Amino acid sequence: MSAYDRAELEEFQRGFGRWLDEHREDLEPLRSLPPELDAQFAVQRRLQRQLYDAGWLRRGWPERIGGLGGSVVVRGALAEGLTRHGYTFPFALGMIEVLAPSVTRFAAPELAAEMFPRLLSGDELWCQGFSEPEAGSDLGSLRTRAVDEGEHWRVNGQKIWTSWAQFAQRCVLLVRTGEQAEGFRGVTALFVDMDSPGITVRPLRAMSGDEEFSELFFDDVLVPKSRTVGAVGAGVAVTMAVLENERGVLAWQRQTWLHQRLRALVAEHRLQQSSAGRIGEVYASLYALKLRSRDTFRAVVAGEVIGPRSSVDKILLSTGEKAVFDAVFELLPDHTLFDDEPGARQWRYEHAYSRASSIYGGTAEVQRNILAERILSLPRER
Amino acid sequence: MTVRERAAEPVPDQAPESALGAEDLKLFQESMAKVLAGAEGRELVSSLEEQGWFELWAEQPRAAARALFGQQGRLARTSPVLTLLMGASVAGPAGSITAGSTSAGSISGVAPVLLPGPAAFSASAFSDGGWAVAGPDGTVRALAQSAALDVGRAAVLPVRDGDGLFLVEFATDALRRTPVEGLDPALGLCRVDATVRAGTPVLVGAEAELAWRRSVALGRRLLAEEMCGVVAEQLRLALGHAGSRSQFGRPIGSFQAVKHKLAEVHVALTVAELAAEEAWAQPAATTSLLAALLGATAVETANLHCQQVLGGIGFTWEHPFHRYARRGRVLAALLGTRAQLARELGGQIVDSGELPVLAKL
Repeated sequence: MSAYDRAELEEFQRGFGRWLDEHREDLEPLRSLPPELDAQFAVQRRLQRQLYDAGWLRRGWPERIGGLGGSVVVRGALAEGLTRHGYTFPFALGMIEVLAPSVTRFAAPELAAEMFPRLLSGDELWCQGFSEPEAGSDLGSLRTRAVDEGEHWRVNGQKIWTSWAQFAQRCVLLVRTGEQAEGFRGVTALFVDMDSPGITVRPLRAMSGDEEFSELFFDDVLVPKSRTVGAVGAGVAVTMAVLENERGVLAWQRQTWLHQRLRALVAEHRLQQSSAGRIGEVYASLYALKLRSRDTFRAVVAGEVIGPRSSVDKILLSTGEKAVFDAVFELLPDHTLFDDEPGARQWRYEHAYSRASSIYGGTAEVQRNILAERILSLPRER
Repeated sequence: MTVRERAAEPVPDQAPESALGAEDLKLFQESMAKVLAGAEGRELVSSLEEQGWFELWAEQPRAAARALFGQQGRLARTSPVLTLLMGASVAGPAGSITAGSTSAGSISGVAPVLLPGPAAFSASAFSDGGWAVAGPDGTVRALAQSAALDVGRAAVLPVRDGDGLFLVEFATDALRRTPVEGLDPALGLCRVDATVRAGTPVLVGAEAELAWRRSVALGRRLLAEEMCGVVAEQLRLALGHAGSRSQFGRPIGSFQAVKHKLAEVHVALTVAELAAEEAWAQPAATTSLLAALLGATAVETANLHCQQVLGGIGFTWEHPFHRYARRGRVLAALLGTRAQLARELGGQIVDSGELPVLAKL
């Protein structure tokens, strides 16, 4: 890390740590989330708003889109600081880290400047319309079609696995503007208002119990041409940027959180020495994840393009997350299987969620193909 | 240009990967490969002294370790430097070779350590594993790098005798040596037997414990570098085979089942290298243990998957694979196996209810 970034990081950590201490009582309700989804979002929005008003959340984002400028490193420090102090990292902040860098890079500057502050302040939420029933890992085969009607695109089709769509005001949507046979070359990204006539949202209940995901239906939805993100047919660049963004600040937050959960396991439960080997292995897998995430995050801070090597990070995130919650189930069978108090429910929820970590954002199989073909230069299958 | 001359050149302060540039490191590695190919044992140590390796070690331990131990791994060669440096570390501050040496840049006069063997790291109390236990009659048993005994006139063994901890120095001619073939005959190990009374205690109690712990940490960092080299070579061999061997009319490396195995090895090697790097940047017992643990994990992964991808040819004596499989497995056990290391680390975590906070941003 450059001396400049390092100095900014340390200044931020000191200031933010002090602010969290000073507002401890004020923030206390944000420590444990209520069970209902609507209430969870309300609580998280409050935290987000406080962080925004105090300026912490605006740091590390460019001034031209309403940020306060400065190094990206402070966004990682914010995520780490919140998580280490025991606060939930708001879903919205995760979504911001995934979508905002790409949208603000590829969208028209006026659009980014208008929309981003509403997102960052918590007034609005965005969602991501990528996967389709027939296009999961093979995203380039998507079929939601946008027809050029001069001033507008006319969009018809269906999306699935869209997180928190029922709470979102905008959607970053991948649509087919070219021929089906063109694959990813015929795909374009649009920035769509969720209250546009013709959009239907149908939440799906996940095995974790949450209605996190939704199906989205588009029936003759009109989207202004000014809402095209990047060039027509350049949806692949936007998509790749989005997937890579998951490995920067967000991965750093994720590993911090996994360390917190492992810490909770060893601090709150009286474990036997017979579990030492298992705990040592889990810690080692989180340490591996942390070393790699730090390396990648530092590269992001330095403005480097991450590229296919980020598949290593994705694999480590998934194996680390599963390792933690598998160990919890293994070492606390009575608690995790039969208790109904909030702590046990949380372990069950997190264990269920960890199963998806090798599926979302590009499956573990796709990540291994990427490493084999693009890093190890093994021949392509076809 | 010799290593010594290169070491004298100024190196940039803030290079991202290494204090040495990638180019310099490559040159070091090439010169180490030549040294390792050209000599063994005592002669090899002399060549390293001539090349200025010990001077580089004093100034930039990580670069020096990577160049020498990484190449040992890649070439399946060995040197007595592991137990010599561990011996120097017992005698002085971590990594120092001045104590006991007659001149700067030399290892002469240093007493190498004897290794108590993997069983010693299964101690029930996790924090003080790794000691040779003296029998009721004062007999102790250990492993040694044979060549190291030819370099030093004495050797040091950590001994638990009754309730006491001692670092005991033995004159090498007081040690009864039996050459070891074992799984990896090319590694040049021997078993040594001695009686405690034949040696001299050089450090006792807490001081001995601290010195030995420091020495083990150093040894684990060095082994981690060597394991990374072994795994990198196994992966290179398997990739070469996957790209050139065809079955069913296509290179086997185009099959997803093969790709995924090799991608796994790549991931394991990547994190083992990161952990080794971090252990030199933050040299401590925990970071060194983790470097050895993730190195041993990479060795296991590579042994499993690279062997499978190499198919029948990898099972032959003439193919080099088996040398690396043997080497990796032995290196991964010398200062504690993967399972022992995990239990040592996890035992501390379970006892304290706290996680070590490492690898800060």
